[in-house]
Amino acid sequence: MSSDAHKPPAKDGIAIEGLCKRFGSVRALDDVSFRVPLGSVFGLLGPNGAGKTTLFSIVADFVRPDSGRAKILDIDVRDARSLLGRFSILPQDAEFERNVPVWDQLYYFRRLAGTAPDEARADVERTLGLVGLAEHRRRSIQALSHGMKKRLGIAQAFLGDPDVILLDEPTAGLDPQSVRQIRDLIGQLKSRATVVVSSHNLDEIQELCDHVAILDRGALLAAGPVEELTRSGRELDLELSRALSAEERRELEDVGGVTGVRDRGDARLSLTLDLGNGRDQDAVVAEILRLLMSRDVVPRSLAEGRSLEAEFLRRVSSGAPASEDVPPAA
Amino acid sequence: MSLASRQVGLVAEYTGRFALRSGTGLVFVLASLVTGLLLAQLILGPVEFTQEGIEGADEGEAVEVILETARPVVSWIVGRASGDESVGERWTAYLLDDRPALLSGILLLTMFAWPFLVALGAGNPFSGDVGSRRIRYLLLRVPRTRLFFGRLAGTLAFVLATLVVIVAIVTLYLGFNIGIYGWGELLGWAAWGVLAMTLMTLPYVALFGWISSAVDTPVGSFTLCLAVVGGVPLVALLGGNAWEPLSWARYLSPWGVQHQLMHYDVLHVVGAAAACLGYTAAFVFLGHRHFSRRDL
Repeated sequence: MSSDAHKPPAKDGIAIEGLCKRFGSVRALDDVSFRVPLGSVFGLLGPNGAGKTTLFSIVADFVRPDSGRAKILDIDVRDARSLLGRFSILPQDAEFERNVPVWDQLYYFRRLAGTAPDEARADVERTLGLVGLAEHRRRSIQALSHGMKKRLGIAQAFLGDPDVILLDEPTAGLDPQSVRQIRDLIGQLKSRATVVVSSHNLDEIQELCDHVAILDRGALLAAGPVEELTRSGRELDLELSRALSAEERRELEDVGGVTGVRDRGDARLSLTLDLGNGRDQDAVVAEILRLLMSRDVVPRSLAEGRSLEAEFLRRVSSGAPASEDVPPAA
Repeated sequence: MSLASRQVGLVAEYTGRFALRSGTGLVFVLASLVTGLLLAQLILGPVEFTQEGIEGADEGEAVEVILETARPVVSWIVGRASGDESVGERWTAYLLDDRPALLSGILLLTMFAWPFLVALGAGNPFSGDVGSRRIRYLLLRVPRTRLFFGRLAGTLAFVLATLVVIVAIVTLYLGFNIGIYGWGELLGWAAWGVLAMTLMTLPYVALFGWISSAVDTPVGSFTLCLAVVGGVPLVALLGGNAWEPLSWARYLSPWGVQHQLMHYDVLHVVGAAAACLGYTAAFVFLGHRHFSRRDL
């Protein structure tokens, strides 16, 4: 991890301030502002064409905004020299040199960052091991599968332990084993680096991220801690010892904080909770369990449901503007 | 060494390395070698044909054969470049009588073809990487300015290394096989030829760097580079015949001055060298300005 003892610590991992970008007649980003807290794992959500990749490209200074600005660690991204080695990105659709072995490309990248040859070699070996490509180090790019190329992209993003890492769809097209491996790697970065992940996989974002922003058609719909964003629509999945009667179900709907009960069949329910006005989730869950136990219904499993997915779909379909949401993540 | 110079050096080094592994780099090397040696064969063929006669003849007869071979080529090229008959005659005499005539002819012919070959070798320093977004992996690690100059330096080194190989092969062949020039005279003129062609290569590499920074497909970039190299003299020649001011179009590229680098008058040589450096500075400025501002 790079550090600079002479400078005060940065306030934000990333700060986006009023970014606008058009490509011809297409408005890719429209006055987008939010902050990514230092040390957080931040999810960037949005349907296709929402502007996620454009936002990443501007933050990485590949693409210049029409107006607004982006900062990484309080440094304007246009000041590339100050940021060299301190942030990295897995671009969504960038290719590697076709006829050059994996190891040579990573070594070149590491050397470009100013690392001494021995240190660069050690870094490359370690990073290739981290993503499971150590045995393929001498292969050229065209001999790698799609999943291996993706892991190589992640390896280059992790090279040199940058302070801020942007990952554009890091698990897209990977097999389940590789997806698990990549998620674990991202999980290990928590508290060591600020990580921004864009993904269509909302379960993945919910598992990995503590903060999210939702974009749609270039506009920011919401930004903030996952906990805050999903308070009004927290999902709870229950599996019970038997199916509930209609009266038992009505009693469940009457519990304070429960706003919806959805029957998923085979004695499985999804409850929607509203935790607004400071209502405590644990208290609501305890009340639900007490009610069930009093009716001789034994909960066999209790799990957090797809709260983020529900919230995402609600926001995107309604197009709720950012101003109605919690303040930008602080 | 500072980080900036290390980065520029690394980018230049790997540009050359990766170019050799890529198809276009190899195509350039092969095309240059084949073209260079074919052009040399145009001059050397008739001489070799009469090689036995030369060896058996006295020195005066041998020189006559050589001059007969090289004179039409040299006088045609310098005649076009000077535009003045008396200057052309004196220039031809300088190249054929004062310098090794065969090498002069080969160098002048190579100068004619070289910009087209350089378009192959230097027509894609950026476009392929921008189109495939490969360049993004580098932009994370190198500021745009260093990447731009590193790529240009690497491309230039790659092109010049190929040029040196061609001239070296031709010179050694002339020295060992034809054997009528002294080694000092031959090597000195070959070195001057390489220097002149280096000066002439600089603006073309810079021009192609500018074009490549603006066009995102390698094919588009190569095509535009070749169109500029061939189009400028063509417009000047054909257009100039129809309407005289159009002949000035030859100065839109280094084509208008490049042959003056082999002139007998040192003032012409210095002027041509300065012009080449001026073109280089202008094209580098335009290319860098575009590359550092555009979306990548």
